[in-house]
Amino acid sequence: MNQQLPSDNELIPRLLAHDETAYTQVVSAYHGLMVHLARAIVGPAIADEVAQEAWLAVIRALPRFERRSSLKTWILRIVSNTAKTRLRHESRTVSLEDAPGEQANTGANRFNASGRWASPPTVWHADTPDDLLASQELRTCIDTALRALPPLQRAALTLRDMQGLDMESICKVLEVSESNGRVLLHRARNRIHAAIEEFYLQ
Amino acid sequence: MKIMNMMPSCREITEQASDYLNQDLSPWQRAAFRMHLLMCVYCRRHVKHLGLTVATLGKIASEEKARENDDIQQIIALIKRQQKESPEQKGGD
Ligand SMILES: [Zn+2]
Repeated sequence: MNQQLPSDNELIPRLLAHDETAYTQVVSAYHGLMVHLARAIVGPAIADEVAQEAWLAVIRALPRFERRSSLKTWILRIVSNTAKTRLRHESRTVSLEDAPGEQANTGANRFNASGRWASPPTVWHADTPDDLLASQELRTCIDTALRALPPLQRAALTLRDMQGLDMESICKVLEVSESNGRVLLHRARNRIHAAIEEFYLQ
Repeated sequence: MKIMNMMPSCREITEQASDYLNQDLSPWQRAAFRMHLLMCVYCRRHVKHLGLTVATLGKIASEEKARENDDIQQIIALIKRQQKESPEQKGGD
């Protein structure tokens, strides 16, 4: 990602003409991101396979790409859909989102009837990410919490906080409404936050 | 009008904190949010911790980025194979 990627306007005709340099640029720029997104939705075991499958779908669909979004967003949406389809096939019981009404640990018991803190946040002995990550035990806690997230929450968190996409693109990629996207991210962040909080409470 | 009545509760602060960090609150909501933080040490702590959580996730991701490049050649080969088989192929190779 350190080399400059040409604009979509320049890239797309070259991709359609099977220009290998253009393919190399696009694969170099987006493949890592695609694997991260696939991993967030289907897990690490078949993430590479899903990303490959998505590339083939990208090649097939490119002549019909209408450019209502950026090439990047469009490719990531294909990854998301490929991954969601795989997930439904692999495990029919897994829900992509939370069970209805589930509230991730903004739990009522933390607040009194007037909405003030009943059990206030604990003090973390850390001011920077490096302080937190210095503890191997805490790394493991965060990792476990990430794995326990419902797939769409993990996808939203991965794209926003780990890969730096903007919310508008994320909602297009995951095919959720803007408010739904914000809820997914909010819940995912709260769960990771709660895992760290629990670590410091012990 | 008492300003306290327009102030979000601590519970509402925790509900808005993620949007606050994304700069997704309306200007009015943002002002009320910050006003609450000025007066509430616990919410200040909560929002600081949520921000630190987000920054830590970014840090974890940046550590992972190192090992990605092996697959690129494999994908290019896959794409070329697919293009050879594709009926939509126009150019040569
Ligand atoms: Zn408060």
